[in-house]
Amino acid sequence: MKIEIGNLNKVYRGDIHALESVNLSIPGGMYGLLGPNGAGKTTLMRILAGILRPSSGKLSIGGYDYDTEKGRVEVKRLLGYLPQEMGVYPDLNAREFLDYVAILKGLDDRRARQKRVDELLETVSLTTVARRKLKTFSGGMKRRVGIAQALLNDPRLLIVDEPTAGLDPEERIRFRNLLSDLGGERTVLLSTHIVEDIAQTCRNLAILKSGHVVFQGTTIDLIGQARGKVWIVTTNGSRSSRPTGNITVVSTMHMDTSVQYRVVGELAPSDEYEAALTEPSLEDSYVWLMREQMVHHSGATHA
Amino acid sequence: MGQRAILWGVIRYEFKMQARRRSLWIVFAGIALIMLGAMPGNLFNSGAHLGGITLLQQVASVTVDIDWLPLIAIGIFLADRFPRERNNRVDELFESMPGTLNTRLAGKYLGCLLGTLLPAFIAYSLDIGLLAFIKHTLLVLPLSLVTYTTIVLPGVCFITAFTLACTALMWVPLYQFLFIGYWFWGNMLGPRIGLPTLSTTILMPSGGFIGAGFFGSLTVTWIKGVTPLESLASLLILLLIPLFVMILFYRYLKWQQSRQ
Repeated sequence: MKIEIGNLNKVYRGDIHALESVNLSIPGGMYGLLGPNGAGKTTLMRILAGILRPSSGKLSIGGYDYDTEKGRVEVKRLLGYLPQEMGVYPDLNAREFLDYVAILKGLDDRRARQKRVDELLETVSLTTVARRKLKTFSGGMKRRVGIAQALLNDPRLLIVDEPTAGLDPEERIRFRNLLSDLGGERTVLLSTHIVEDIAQTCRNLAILKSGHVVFQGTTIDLIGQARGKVWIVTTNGSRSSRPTGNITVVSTMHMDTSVQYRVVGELAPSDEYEAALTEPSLEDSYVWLMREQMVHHSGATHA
Repeated sequence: MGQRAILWGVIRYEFKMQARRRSLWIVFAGIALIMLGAMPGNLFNSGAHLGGITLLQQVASVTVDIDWLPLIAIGIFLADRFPRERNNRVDELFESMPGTLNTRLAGKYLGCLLGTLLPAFIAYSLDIGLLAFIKHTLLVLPLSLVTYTTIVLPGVCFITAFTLACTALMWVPLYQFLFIGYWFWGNMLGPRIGLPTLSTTILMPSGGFIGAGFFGSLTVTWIKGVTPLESLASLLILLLIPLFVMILFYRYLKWQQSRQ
């Protein structure tokens, strides 16, 4: 299910520009939307889910025109949505809540609905606690209820907004694997500020910053942009030996007799430390891109 | 998918969620006890000591006399039903579903109404049971069903619509405070006080006007000489206003959605 976004703008009251001239072409499969907090990811997700209306621009999902009420309704029928802050009715149990959402999604055959609810409870490993009230669920369990409700209507388009926020490492891995499996047969749009989630699941991604798309392409393209800019710097640990230059320190690791830094940028040569180029990770590349954007932005501001 | 199936599903779950509230049952149990204790006074107000008063008149009078407190409780317990969607953050999820706002709203209205009415009706039934015991006749039971449906239900429909709509616009405790004030002003202040009030008009929501015209209820002392036609007008207006309010409320929510 292809998504075409053309020159999309969203301006909130108070002249707050959440999205500016966003152009994106999203193919089927898993697609990542990455960006810092406040970049406009959630606004874009909400527009795609039909909750917000864009201020201007074109949006077409699976050939349906989002400018029309009919188009929006048709897309909503094919949509599964997991909001960033997934709410539940605390006084219902997991099975009841899913049954209720299934009714609202149009699953009218009672037996088929119950079967689907049971299947999804199994998929998200909540079968044993299906009769527990949702108010007793942890954040991770509620997230799993959230993904189950999004899948009730077997959607062709699945939009998940920050799905792994607040999850422990094991749950995060489980969630990522589940999303990857789902991406095999539908379009899954994963919005996050956690680079690792994208690195492990998506081949294609877009990066948003301050309402603008600053990158769209494959993860390999993004990594390629940072090649030759990522260094492993080993120092003796003294203050004077810290790496210098136009760099961002991505990580610092204290060893027995030395300190190892992973840095991105233009490293200044020095006798105080040893530096070796290394292959960039997606996180390094993201940091590089954000730095570049900052440089361009400040350049434009000074000009 | 039929909207009817969605409507039925929403009614079922809204009913379930409301009827499961422990506080609802505790409050209505308390109200039932108060009403049972007040039965001698209610009987006196119904004119039981006077000659020429029919059983239907007495049942109607008792119905009018005992429904004011449960109706206040109904308004208070309904007040959080709409804002809880926003507070529990389920509204965003529901808005991503296709074209269900009108059905959800209708289902919420009916489900919440029935869920709140259940304990209120049980409390009423206990009181009516005592009346049947005092009067030594089971005929009180079917008569009370007629009077409850005619006198109390229109008021409940009225309260439910206004409560759902008003709490979308105002803070729940403020609404509850204003609602109690409105209830006393619109139903319990007689013309002697000198303030303009709804309690002498067909807009009286507690059913005193309906009871007086249809059944000759004597409870509201300042309502005299009401014809059945006027009572019918009161009943119809108490049913049509909620319909109008819910339509306006739906339009408001649609408008709000389109502005997001």
